[in-house]
Amino acid sequence: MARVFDGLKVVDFGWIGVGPITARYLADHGATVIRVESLTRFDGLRMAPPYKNAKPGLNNSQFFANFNASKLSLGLNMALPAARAVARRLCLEWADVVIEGFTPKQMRAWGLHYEDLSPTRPDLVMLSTCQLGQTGPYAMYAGYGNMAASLAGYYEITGWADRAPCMIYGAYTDMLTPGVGATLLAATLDYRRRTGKGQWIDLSQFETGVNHIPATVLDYTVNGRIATRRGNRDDRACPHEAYPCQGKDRWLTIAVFTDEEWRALVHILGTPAWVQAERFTTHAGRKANEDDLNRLIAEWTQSHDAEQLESLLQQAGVPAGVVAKQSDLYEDPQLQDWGFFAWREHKVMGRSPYDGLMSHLFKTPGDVAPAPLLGEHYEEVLKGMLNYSDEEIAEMVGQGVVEMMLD
Amino acid sequence: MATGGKDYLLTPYRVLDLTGESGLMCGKMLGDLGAEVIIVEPPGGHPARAIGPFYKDEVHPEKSLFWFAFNTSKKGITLDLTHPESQKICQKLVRHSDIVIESFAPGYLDALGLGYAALSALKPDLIFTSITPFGQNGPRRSWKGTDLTLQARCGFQYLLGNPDRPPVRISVPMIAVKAGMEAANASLFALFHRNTSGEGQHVDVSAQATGIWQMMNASSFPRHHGVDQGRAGDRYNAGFGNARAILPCADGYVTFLTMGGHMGAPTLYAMSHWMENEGKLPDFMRGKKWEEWDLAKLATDPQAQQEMDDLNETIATFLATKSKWEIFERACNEKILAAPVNNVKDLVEHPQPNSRGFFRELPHPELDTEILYPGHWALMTNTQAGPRFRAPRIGEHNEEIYCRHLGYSQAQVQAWQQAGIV
Repeated sequence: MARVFDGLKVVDFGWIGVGPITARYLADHGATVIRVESLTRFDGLRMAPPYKNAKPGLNNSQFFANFNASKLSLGLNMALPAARAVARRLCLEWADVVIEGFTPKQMRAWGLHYEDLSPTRPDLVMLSTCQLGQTGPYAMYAGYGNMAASLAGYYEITGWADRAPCMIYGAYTDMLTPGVGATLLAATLDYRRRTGKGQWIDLSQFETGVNHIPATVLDYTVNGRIATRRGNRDDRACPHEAYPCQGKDRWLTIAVFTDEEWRALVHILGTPAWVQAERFTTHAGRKANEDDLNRLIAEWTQSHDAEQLESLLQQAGVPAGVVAKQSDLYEDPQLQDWGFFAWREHKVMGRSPYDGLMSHLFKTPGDVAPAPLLGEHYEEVLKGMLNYSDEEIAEMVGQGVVEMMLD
Repeated sequence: MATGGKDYLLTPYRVLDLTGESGLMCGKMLGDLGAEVIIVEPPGGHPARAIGPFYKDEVHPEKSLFWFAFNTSKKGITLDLTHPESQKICQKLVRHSDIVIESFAPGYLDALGLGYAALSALKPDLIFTSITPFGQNGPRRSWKGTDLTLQARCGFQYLLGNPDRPPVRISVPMIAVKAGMEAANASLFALFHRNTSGEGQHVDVSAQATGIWQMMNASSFPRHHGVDQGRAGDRYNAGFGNARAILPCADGYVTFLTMGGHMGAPTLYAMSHWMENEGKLPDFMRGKKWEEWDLAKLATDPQAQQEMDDLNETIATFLATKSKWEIFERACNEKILAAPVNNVKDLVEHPQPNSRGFFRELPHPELDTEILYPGHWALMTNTQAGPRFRAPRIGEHNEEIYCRHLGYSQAQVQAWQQAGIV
């Protein structure tokens, strides 16, 4: 079946999260993506959990595999001039798109900055993404998405008003930025198709985080209001909370936005006496008595099975959702119907679940292939794409220019 | 890379935005990229106009900051899609569009004769993007989904909050924003395919599926480690030991990652150096080879966890005397994995995005003011992307679109107005 980016050639110098995930969008949709990585300075995710059987190993990390599915891998020791020459040929002679996610000085040091490449290749599309952008007084700030999420205001608005802010699991801006990067790349590839011109895209992960909370920003720039964390509260809805259910750490969220949904909830509750109280009949009344209401609903939910109650409420038209554990997701019938998890056979890790596609393009659906071993495709790339001879390749392998770890 | 005067990326394209509150981000993104986006509101105004916050806290459909925030760079017309006359008008709008985006319950537009099957018969190369809680198919396609219930159902909420309290969402709705962005992305992938093959298609976006992609490395822990990750309050879990990562400082909080191993070692060397300079380096941190400090061991070895806790508390005590700016400057110069816990005031005033011209003032002449918006989507050498003009007022572009674009007479539009269609 045809795929959107069949024939598109991408070099991915990404690192950790944003660059590699952005490149994966293109890879899943048919682009040939070469992940350039290194054994001497390997991507930190190759030694980050989860690992097959919980055992660390460069080819044993699903964290790395998930973000680098559907790609080829070329290992280069970029400290060596010969390796940088190979990388340069890939960019100048082969690639349509180059993606990188280092702090701003790295690509310049390797002679692979956009300004080094674009004179020869004005049609090249290049995406550089880092924490705070390529310019400005703090451009050299280095960190993970945990840092950019903190700078972009996300921890301040996560947790409970009477407690310290909570961490957001993972590196939150790493989860927001690739969608923007892939969108900008698609728009730029169309621009290139129309004009013949490429361009350089400077994508700040901090700015991307801020762009995802625009109403919060306007409430400050217009009203001077500084948003903070508020548990699960929402001005427009009540009840609006995660309620305890039968079993260990089992929760059901219920979100009532309208009086109609409230009446449906009351019906499912079996109309106990407390629920008839006048203070709960209007949204304003429920809001004013939200603590009491939450306590009373929790007393009811805790003797119920979360999934059964969820079905009952949804059938009655009340928004409800079980707080799923990761292991629940594998069994989720809706996600199974969607085909979300792509279970693929990795050469070292065996059958593993890759996070799958977020959208279905019905005529060009895309697909997920297992992630490469470190440097696995050096022959395919060096011989097939750059026409190096067998002797040259053997020499580069012997000199440690080309690196790999194939088990 | 100054932005002034540059072209926008998607200027040749037109988008018809039929979305409700959960799909608005998609059209905003396409509009900010330069497409002509026309949002269709029911007569009387879009339901999202009732969502706060409001301009100077005045509750009014023309003063919703939520509406302003998610509808920049769009034009607005009114049309009652449920009225029998509207089908023809809508079909004409679709003929003038490259992309239609919608977020009704699956099947709703089909019943009005405005679903993908009907519209693609009219215009075979149409991109028709649907954004729903669970997708167009499957046993839960008709379930309701809100930010809270979907953050729960995608598994993200299980990972957020304090262990002794219920799991939480981020206090600002995020999943519709994420799903809207993915819808913009998928729409442009489909458009790229159309432009190279001539073929249009239906694009189906599931908010639940987009939500799973918020979870970084969590989803495969059950498969490979036989455990579920859980919420850890102010500590950092994710399989990297379990150190406190939100630390109080002199004027607020900072995020600090105590990781060791090759990912965390540079931070711990830099911290040792800083503490030594101030005479506060304890013996147990002296001469330590931080690369060899094994992350994997931390998960299973109580002694290693104790060592991490000691280190964590020592650093916390040290940082408690420093200000957010002092820590940020130091982090920037010495590659320390630390960042201030900013609030919205901090980030709006931050010199870094401001030095890049990130925030943009858009005129609101009706309010006799300009409002500061976030911001460009990136800096680019040849083009720009960011909010171009404020969100539309109710029916603001009726005459422009109906009369000048589609060729209806003003008398016709007035007749529709009287009939309550427009």
